[in-house]
Amino acid sequence: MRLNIDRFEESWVVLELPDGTTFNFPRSLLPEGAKEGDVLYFEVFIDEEATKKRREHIQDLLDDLKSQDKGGDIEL
Amino acid sequence: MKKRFIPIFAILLSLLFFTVAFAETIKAYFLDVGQGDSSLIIASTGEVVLIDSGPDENIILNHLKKIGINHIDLLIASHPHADHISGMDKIIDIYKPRAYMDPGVPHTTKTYERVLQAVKRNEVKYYQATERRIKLGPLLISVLPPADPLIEESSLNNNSAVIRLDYGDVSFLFPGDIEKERENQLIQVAKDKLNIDVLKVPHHGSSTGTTIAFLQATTPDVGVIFCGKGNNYGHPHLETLEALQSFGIQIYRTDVNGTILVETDGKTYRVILERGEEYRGPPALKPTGLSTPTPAPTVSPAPTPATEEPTVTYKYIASKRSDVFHHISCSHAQRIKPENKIYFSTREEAIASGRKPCKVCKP
Repeated sequence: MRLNIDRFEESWVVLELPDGTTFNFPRSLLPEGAKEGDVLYFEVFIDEEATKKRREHIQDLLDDLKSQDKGGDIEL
Repeated sequence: MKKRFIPIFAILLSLLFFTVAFAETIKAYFLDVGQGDSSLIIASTGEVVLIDSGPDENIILNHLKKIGINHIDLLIASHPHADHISGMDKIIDIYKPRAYMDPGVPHTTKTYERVLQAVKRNEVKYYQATERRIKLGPLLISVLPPADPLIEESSLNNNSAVIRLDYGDVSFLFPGDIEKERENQLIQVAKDKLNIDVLKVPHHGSSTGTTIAFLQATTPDVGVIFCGKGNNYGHPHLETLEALQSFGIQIYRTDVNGTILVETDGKTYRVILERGEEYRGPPALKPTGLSTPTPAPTVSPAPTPATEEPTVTYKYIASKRSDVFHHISCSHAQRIKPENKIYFSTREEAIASGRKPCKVCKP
């Protein structure tokens, strides 16, 4: 997908979608030298492996915390 | 009605520690955190519950500081989206809540991981938002049944912890960001627990939820919408506002009204807004004799008896779509759409229609 750089605002770059609408994108993620009017080529895909690893990591953390919950009503 | 004697020094003392000057009330703050949720409940006896912390660490920490919070008993994350849990790790580090609760459904973001790490690091007691009750001083908190099995559609939203809070006769529902799938499920499995007075409108007033069936089951008098001014998502959606209005529900929005405070003594309640003048409710609670009924304001006949608007022989009013009736002058009655208005000349007639009296105007 190709997006145009409309302008820069503070730490954001305003990118234009093919339908003419715009959105903010972090300036820090742009390649060096990018300037107003440049056309950016975007390719995005899901990293299944990283997602799986990440989900397992959080699940472990959560399971550890859940193990102290004995269930039932709570009196605080 | 019994009068409660409050020694002056006790009032002064409580003023020092809380902004609460009355004995035995609770304050539910719907904090203006921009495009996100954060509800803070403070009992005058000192118990503090925070449900969600909004989208921005600095905003929530400032609110807590300004209100003078020095401890939190129970911290609840309705679900792990960043507009509900940002800054929660800091809150845990600073206030070291006695307990933390969330739906126990994992999310891969750093924001959520930081919250869990803070719970672990500070040895905060973890509770999962399974169907259970929590007694905290005068507060009775019910966690309504979680989705079973987990709802796949909009999974984190729909699996939000749905929290009911009861204080005396006044009740609140905090349903996080649930959408229609979960609303329908709750109507199936927990209908008897859905009838409340104050509804935190689900999902920032998005049209993904707040169905007619859900409003019929919850019958709120007041709906509070958390949303940021000019947000990107168009929250609250017109359909939701129209649905709320068709039931005569008084709507408050954090983008319009700023922080919204509902204070209750367990019998009646009042709403205090940071901005806006929408609320035309009963006069302020008094520090003593809180249960004294509010005298009904005088009804002046409509100057022009236009269309089918009846004259003052009718004293009570309700919406066709709600099971609450109001005194004709109640602020909530003003919100009922003309086509939904039903009138009663006596209280008995209103009750006979299967409706219960409004908790604000107490007809």
